[in-house]
Amino acid sequence: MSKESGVRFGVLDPTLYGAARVFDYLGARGQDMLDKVGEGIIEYGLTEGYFEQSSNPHEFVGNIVKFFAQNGYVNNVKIDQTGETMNITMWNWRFLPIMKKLRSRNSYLLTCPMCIANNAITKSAGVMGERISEQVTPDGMYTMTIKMVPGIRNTRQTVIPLKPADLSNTPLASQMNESLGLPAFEAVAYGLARAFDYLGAQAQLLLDKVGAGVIEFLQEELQISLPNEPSKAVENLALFFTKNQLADEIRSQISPSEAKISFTNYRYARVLRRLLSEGITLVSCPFTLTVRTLLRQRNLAAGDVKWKFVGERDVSLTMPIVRIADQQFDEEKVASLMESP
Amino acid sequence: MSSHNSKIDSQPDALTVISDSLESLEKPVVLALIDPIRYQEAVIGLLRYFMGKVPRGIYVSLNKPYAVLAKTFEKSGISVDSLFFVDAITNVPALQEEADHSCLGSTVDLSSLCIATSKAVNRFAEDKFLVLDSLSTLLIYNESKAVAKFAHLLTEKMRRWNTSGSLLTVEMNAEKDVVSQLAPFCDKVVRI
Repeated sequence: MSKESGVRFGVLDPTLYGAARVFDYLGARGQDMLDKVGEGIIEYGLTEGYFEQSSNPHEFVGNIVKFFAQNGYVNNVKIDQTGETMNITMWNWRFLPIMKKLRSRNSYLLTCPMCIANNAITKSAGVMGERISEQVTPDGMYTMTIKMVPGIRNTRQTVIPLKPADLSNTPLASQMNESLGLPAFEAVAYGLARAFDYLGAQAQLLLDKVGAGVIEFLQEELQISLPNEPSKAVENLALFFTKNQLADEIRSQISPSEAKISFTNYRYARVLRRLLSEGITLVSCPFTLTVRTLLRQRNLAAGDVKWKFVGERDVSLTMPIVRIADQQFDEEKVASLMESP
Repeated sequence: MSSHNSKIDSQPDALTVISDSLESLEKPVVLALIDPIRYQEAVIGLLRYFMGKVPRGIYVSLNKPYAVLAKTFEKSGISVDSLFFVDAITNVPALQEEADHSCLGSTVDLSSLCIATSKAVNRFAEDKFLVLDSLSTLLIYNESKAVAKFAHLLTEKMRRWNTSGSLLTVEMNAEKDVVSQLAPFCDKVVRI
């Protein structure tokens, strides 16, 4: 499990931020949707052999923590339990910068992949954690006190801490150039698509909205320029995602009717292959989602993605593009056609 | 970590919500606004509600292939024999029409979808209901104004056909326009 072959946080962080932004409108129930991503992370990790299942929830949680620690998402996690109260302390927890940004928008949803995977485990045992308080030290040690209560759905109490931490001294973008292990990235990418597969094709609408959050993050935090001209904007995105190691090279060709993109040594390839083999056509590649949203923001709708593997990790895709303004619906004309035998 | 098996989740099931909301309505045309978490439960609940009242149903799917849906419904104890599926998601090279379903292909436009739905409704003389699953999917490729027009036309036709039924939309913060434009044309907006 080498960190060198992974992706940078520049790929993961905007994606996690985007995922939280998508479900903000649902309030506490949004966390239930995100915990479903946690179920997908667990499924991927177990079936790929990245961690082991345990009938003891405490041990199972420990296995997942170890996996994320090995992948560079956290240095160490310490859990102390007294009765129903649990103190969780994390060192160098990589979600902190995202949490800070989300909190600045008054969003308390948690998209830390390690946490949502653990939420999925405790939920399956009929237990939820009500968030009592949080603290962060200037050197980044984060402590959360939670009270375990019976439940299977999130409530305001399980999402918003009674006493939230002051994150004003937490740095935001400093980890962008650091790497996350590929298995952890893959688990998140798989979890995103797997989580919403039960919704069918309409889930792509949710996933595309992750792309909107990614764009928001890239523009606000990294001042990425996304010109109005679609091909130029996609090119800039491709440069960003290549720099952040989603692929060694991303080449794009955007015409008025089609987007063609090819990836060399694409870190999403393994997840894609698995999703397609499971009959899941939803796309969760952060770059592709962002391109779809970017086109939509320019009044262009991207159709179903067609993938082609040209090597183990070399992949190309095509997406038809239609101008939304061209899709008129003539109510009167269609009404009369409906009356015809 | 201690384990608790008692559930504190006490919200009413989808069928109860639907039945209670539509109690006083004869042949309701319903806009179902569904919490994404409860999507499957809501679909089953709506089918159970309408099947309890009307012998035949037309299920227009833009989300899942009819073969997948039929299996899911059967697993939930719903008899698919009384359903006709209009499948607008399975990839087929040309229109396919069978006794229990028609496949339009996955790139169908709003006009063709209307015509195919009308054709399916006209196949059956008996009393029937219509479920459109879902408006949200249409929003991936169409602007909300066009989707609202489409839904408006469909609800108008449902009344002319004397057909009850439901247009589904998953609560996604994207369909607000459609909901506000369509709500006046439906007998009820049911939140599940």
